[in-house]
Amino acid sequence: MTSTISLTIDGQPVEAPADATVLQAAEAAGITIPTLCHHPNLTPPAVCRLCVVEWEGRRTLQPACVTQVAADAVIHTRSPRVDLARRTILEMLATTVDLSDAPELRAMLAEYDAHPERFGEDLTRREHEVIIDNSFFVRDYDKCVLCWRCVEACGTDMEHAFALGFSGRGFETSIATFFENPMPETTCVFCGNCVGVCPTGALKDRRVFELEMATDY
Amino acid sequence: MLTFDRIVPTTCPFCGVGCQINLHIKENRIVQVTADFDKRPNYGELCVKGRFGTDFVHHPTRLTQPLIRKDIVLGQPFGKARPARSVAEAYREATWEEALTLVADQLARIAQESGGDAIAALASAKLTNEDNYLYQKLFRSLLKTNHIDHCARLCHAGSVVGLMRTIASAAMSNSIEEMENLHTFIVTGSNTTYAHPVIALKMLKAVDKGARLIVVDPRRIDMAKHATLWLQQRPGTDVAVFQAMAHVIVNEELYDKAYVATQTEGFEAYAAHIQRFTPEWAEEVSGVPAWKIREAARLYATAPSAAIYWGMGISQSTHGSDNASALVNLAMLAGHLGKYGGGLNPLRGQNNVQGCSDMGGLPNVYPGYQPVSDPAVKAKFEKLWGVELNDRPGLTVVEMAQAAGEGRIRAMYVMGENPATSDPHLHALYEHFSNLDFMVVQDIFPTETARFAHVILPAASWAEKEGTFTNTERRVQRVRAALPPPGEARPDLDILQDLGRRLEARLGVHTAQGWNYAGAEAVWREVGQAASEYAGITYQRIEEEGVQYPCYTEDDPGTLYLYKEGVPRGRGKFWLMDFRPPVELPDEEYPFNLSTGRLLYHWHGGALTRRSRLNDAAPEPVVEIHPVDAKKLGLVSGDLAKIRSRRGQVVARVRVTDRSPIGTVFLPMHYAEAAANLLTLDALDPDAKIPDYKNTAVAVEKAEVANWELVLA
Repeated sequence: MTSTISLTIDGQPVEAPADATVLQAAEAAGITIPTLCHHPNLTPPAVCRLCVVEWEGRRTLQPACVTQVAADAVIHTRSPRVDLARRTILEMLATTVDLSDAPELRAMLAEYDAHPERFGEDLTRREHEVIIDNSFFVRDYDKCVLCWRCVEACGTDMEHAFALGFSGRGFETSIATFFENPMPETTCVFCGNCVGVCPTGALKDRRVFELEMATDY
Repeated sequence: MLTFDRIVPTTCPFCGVGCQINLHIKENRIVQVTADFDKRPNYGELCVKGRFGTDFVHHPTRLTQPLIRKDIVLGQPFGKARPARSVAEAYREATWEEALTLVADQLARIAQESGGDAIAALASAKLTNEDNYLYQKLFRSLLKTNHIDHCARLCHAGSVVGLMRTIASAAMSNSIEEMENLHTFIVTGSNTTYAHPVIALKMLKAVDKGARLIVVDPRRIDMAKHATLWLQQRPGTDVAVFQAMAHVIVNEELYDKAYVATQTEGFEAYAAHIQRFTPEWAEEVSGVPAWKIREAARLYATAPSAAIYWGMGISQSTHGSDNASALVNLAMLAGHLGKYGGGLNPLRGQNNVQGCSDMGGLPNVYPGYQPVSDPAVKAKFEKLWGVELNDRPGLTVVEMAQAAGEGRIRAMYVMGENPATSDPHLHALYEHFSNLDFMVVQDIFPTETARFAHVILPAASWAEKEGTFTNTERRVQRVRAALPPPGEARPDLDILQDLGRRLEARLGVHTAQGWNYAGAEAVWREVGQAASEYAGITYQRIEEEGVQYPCYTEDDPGTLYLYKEGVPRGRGKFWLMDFRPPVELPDEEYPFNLSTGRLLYHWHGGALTRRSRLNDAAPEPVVEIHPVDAKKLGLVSGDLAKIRSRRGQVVARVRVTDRSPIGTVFLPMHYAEAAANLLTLDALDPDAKIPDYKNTAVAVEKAEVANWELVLA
C-alpha cells in the first residue's frame, strides 16, 4: 500500500497517494489541467508541455502528467506564468499545424486568449500530402502535432507492431514508417489503435475521410 | 469535420473477446467504429476486424426479401435440396406470409410423418443468447427434437469433453483482466495474435512485465517470438509433449501435493500410467528436445500461479478431448486451478460461441448444461415450458449431415451458420444435404449453405437487433440495434416467434409462455428461470458494463475466476490416455500434412469478411509452404499450387515461409473458392465428435491456372 500525502493545489488542500502524478492528484480533486500528448492508457511522453504547472520553490514549470506529487507541495495550475507558457505552445501549434479536426485544442486557443497571427503572415507551415495507401485509414500529417500517442499505441503500450516511428529532425520531424514505406509494406496490422488515440484527426478512418472529401457535411 | 447522427454502444460481432465498441452512424450507415478507453474487457483497444470490418452490414448482397426456390409451387410436392449455382438465379422473391407458411407446413408435416427426430437444427454462435434460447426452445418444445447443435462442435467440442470428464465445467477459468498480471502461462494451439488479437495484446503486456510464456505450437506463430520457451512439436503430437511434461512434474516431485491430495482423484494410477511417457520418448515422437520439455514442465509447475490458454490446435483433432484432458492433468498436478491468473482457458472463437452453448444450442443439454436425459431436468423444463419433452440426446453437426445422407434426417433448419464451408469433407456434405426433403436457411447473406435451401429467410444483422452476447470470459454483454434492418429483413427473434405461433397452430402444442415476447429482454428473463447461473444478470445491470456468470442473484457481483471453492465435479479426475497419432498421416502419394486455420483479416467461413473492406488486405487464398518443401516442388512465392487430398483439390497462391514446419502446408479456411474443407476428412473424435482440421495428408504441385470463382449473390 502506498501512503497518502497532503499538498495544496490552487489553494485547495488535497490528499493523494504518494506515487500519484500531479495530474492524477488534481483530477481526483476535481481540478482540470489541459493535456494533449497525455492519454490515460498510454505511457506519458511529456512532449507537448501543455499540462505544465507552477510548483512553488521549483525553478521551472513542471509537466503535471509525469511529475510525482510530494508532501506539502504548493502547486498552481493556473498562473500568469503557466498561462503564458500554454498560450505560446498553442500559438506555435496553430501557426504550423492544421487544427481544424481538433475542437478541444481550438477551444483552448480561445480559453488562453491565443493569437497565432502575432507571429506574422508568411510562416512556414508543416505541409504534407495526405497518405492514402490502404483501405482502412489515411494519414494527414498536416494535422499532426507530434504528440507521440500513435507511436506508443503501435509499440508496447498497445499493439506491439512497431510500425510507426519518427523521421526528420526539428521542424522537419514527422511521424513515419521505416524508410517512409507504405503501410502495407510495414509491420502494421491495421488494428487502428493509432487512429483511436489520435487527438487531432491526423489519423482517420478512410471512410470518414472520403465522406468529408465528397460532401460538405 | 464529420458529425454523426448517433453513436450506439454495442459488442463487436467477430471473435470471442467481446470488445465493447461504439458504432458511429450517419444516414443509417456505420461510418466509424471507436472504443471507450475505460471499458472492460478491451479498454479502448481493437483489432482490424472490429474497427474496420463491420461494413459487411451494408454489402449489396444482403438478403432483404424472403426467397423461395423458383421450382416450388405452394401446395404442390417439390424436389429435394440441391445446390444452386447462385441464389440470384435459382430463387424468387416471396412474402413473409408465403415463406413462413411453407416452412411451418413442411416442418409440421415432417414432424407428423416421421417424428421430431427427423428434423435437425443448427443454432448459431454468431447470434444472440436470446435468439439461441428461443431457437432451441422452439425445436425442443414444439417439434420434440434434440438434434440441435452449432459450430462449437467444430471448434471447442474437444475442449468441452476433455474438461467435462475431468472437472465437469468447460468455461474459461480466468478473465481477460487477469492476463496482464500473469506470472507464467502456456499458449498452445492458439495463434492468438490472429484469432484473438486484443487478448494477445494483454498477454504481450504480461510478457513485457516479465511473465514467462511457454508456446507449444508446430507453427512459428507471432506469440513464439515473445516466448521464453517455444516447443515446436510435430503436428498431432500434443499429447506426447503434455504427458512427458506431467512425467517430469511427477518424477521430480514438483507437483502440488496438498492440491493433489485434497482436490483430485486417481493420482496413484495416473502417476504409474505416465511412467512410460519419458521426455526422451516424447522427443522421438514429437521432435521437441527432451531438455525443453523438462524446462517447460519446471517453469509451469514451480510458478506460484500459471494459466494455460489454448485454441483450435488442441481441440480440432480426432484426439481433441485427449489433448484437453492432458492439459487438465497438468493444471491439477501443479495445483494451478482456482487461483488468480491460474486456470484452464479454451479461447472461444466466435462472438457468442460461449453463449450459444450456454443457451442449450447443443444436442445433449438444455440451457445451463442441464442434461436432456436427466429425468429431473426433463421434469423441470416440462414444467417451465408446459409441454412434453424428448429425453433422447440428439445428433452432432457432422452426424446430422451424415444422417441426412442416410435419410434419417429429412428436414434441416440452419440459422446463421454456414456448414457448406465450415464442415469437413465438403463433397460428402454436399451429397448429404442434397438428400434433404426440406431445408431452411435463415441468414443475412446468401451463403454457400443457403444455395441448398428450399426457403431462405432474411435476418437482421447484429447491428440491427437487441440482445446479449457472452464473451470468452463468461461476460454477458449487450448488443444494440443501431440501424433498421434492410428491406424486409427481420430480427431473428421476430422470425422465430412468428414461426412458433404458426407451428403451435398446426401441431396443437402450446407452450406456457407462448410466442409473443415483449422483446429480447423478456426472453432473457426466461433464461434466468431456466438456468440459475444467469439469474442475477439483468439488462439493467449490464447497461453500462457486462457481468460475468455464474451470477445467481442481483447483488452477486459475478465471477472473475472459477473453481475458488473447488471444481464442480468435487474432485478433479486424472484422465489416463495413450498417445494416438492423427488418423491420416502423410505417405508417398500424399506426402504433406495440411493444417487449416485463420488469418488476421478474415473470419471463419468468410461470409462476413469477404464482403467487407477487410477483403482488400487478403483477397486471395494463399497456401503457406516451407522454403525446403518449396524448393523441392519448384515453387516460389506468387506461384499457384494445386493442393490435393483423397477427397478433393483446390488451387491457392503460394507464399514461401518458415511459419509452418517442413512437411506441413497451411491453408486458411476463409475462401469459398478454394475451400480448405474440400480436402479435410470427416473422421471424428470418438467422444467429442469433432473432426481433425489440422492433419490431412495432401499432395502439392505447381498449377498454371486458378479456377477461383467466388459467388457472393
